[in-house]
Amino acid sequence: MKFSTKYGEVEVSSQALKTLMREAIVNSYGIVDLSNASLISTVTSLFSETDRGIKLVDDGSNLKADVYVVAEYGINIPQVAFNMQDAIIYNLKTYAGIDPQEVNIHIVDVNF
Amino acid sequence: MNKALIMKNIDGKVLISCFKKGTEVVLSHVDELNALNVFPVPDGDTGSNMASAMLEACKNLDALESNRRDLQSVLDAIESGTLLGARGNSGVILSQIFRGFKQGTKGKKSLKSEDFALALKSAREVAYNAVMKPVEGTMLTVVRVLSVDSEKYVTEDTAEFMEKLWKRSVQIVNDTPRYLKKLRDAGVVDSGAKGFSYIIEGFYRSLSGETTVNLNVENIGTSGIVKISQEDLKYLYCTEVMVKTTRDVDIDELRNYYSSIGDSLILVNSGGILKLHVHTNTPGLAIDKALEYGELYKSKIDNMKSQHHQIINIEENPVISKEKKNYGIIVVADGSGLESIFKSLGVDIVINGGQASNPSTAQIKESVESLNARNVLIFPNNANILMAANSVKEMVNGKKIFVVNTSTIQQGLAGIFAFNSQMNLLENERNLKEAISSVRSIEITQAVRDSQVQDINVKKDQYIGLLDGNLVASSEAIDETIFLTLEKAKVNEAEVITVFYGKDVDEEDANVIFKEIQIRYPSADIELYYGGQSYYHYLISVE
Repeated sequence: MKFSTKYGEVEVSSQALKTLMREAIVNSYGIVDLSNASLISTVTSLFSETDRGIKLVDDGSNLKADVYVVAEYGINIPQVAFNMQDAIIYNLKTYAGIDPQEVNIHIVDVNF
Repeated sequence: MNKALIMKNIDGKVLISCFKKGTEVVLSHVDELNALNVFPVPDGDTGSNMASAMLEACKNLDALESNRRDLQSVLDAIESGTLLGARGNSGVILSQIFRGFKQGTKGKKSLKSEDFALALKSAREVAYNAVMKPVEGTMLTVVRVLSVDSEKYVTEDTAEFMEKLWKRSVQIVNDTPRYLKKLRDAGVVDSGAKGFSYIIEGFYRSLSGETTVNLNVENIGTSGIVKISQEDLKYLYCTEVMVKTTRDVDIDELRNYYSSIGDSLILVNSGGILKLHVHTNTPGLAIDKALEYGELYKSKIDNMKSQHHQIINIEENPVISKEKKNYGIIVVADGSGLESIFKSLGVDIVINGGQASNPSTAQIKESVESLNARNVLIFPNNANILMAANSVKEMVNGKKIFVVNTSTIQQGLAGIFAFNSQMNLLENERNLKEAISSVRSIEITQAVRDSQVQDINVKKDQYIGLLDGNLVASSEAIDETIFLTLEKAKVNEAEVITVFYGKDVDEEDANVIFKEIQIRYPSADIELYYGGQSYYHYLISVE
């Protein structure tokens, strides 16, 4: 993600963004693991980077994220997904000043 | 304490009572819990979220048949209810705690205090298993510490056991800032942890004899949220301050003072914290006044001319305004245009609902309760909603409720026009009746299936016209239907024809129809408005 100022450019790397997102994911209640995205058959082959569980498509001004996680059995899965989505968006907005275009949550498996 | 209750083990019936009492205690502190919510994000909904989970479980408990109130069935009901009603992190954690607790009861029929302690261990395990990074200083900490300490409190008297659990939980809650920096910075305890301690308080109070439960409690612990007025840059600085109060807060004095130096005032005093938000040109004075009440720990002054200022917008319902009015009006309508029209006519609350989706009795009841008025009039505007509205009459105390007999939006509008807040109820009743009977309601929509009504053949997807509820026209072309129906309504004798077009109708098409109506019926006053309703393409009132 790039921000232009009159003195130059500020670039926030995908890695930095993923770390912010991971913090939100790991603190989300009901999520017990991130899943290795390469094990999942993907529709799109646009991978900016391979990092466990988080796919980011960052064209410099728009951010689309896909998050692959394992949920715990016995929790309200949709609610946990919404909570996590909220937390990710909060982190991106508050700490990086980025309003993501999409944050898609994929519950890959349920842990017993 | 009643001696007969001392040896009470916790069976299904006792647990129902405990859980409901716990719900009552949480409900009576919802605002406080919301105000305390700073972790993980300050979205201010912990109280509401926990209440949602508890209430959903209470619904399940109420639905249990009298012969299915054994402990395991009750625990099942609680588990599934909290699961379904879980909102936010706190709701989800709560549901896991109850789930783990149930597993820890290992099928028992009733619990002595040592069984309760054992079940707490399982609750702790299950709750901690469901998160990668359990955060201490939250509800999880309370469960963890209690799961260990409860062993020490085991005694024959379950009420005594629960009292010790409750007191310990309060200590842990007060300790939470020690674990979490965010709590320390905000000078608050963790809201989820506090909520959980309220549940245990409920369990204790129920076991010691307070078995009556009232789930319609007023919120205690907040000193009133003052009504927000419209924004305009009369005052430049958006000033927000949080104060850890060291003396009693005179909310009235504060409100008067801040209203004299600014507007858009929000004052919340709860849990030892005073939160102030005001728009003023003298931020220094605003802060000085706050300092009289304690230590400042957070402050922010924004010049609202700058682009990044966020204007705080609070919904009108339900704001608890301080003046009690004579009349409050609630209307059920579907459509953003219709909503604005009703609001501009002085309606207090517009509940969204109509043919496609009826509002629940609970929604109507909530709206009635949120109005600070002696008399409340409800315009259901649909025959199906009439019954729900009538049943609310018995559910609310302290206000007189009148359900106006309107079965269409058009009747509702006619009624609102005829209503006069200066007149007494009897006169209004008479005027309303007259106005409603003098309007004819036309509804234009699409048929969902083939049918035959009297001598009219209806095919699916044709446009049908209803006059006062009776199908009088059907055609492939919407304009033909409209004009056939208008004819049946003897519109050539009418004085005023008002047309509302729905959200599926193009403004252009509506205008074409409008002009055609004007041409055909030149003697009548014709008006066109955007109603925004779904389901009915056009709603027409003929007077």
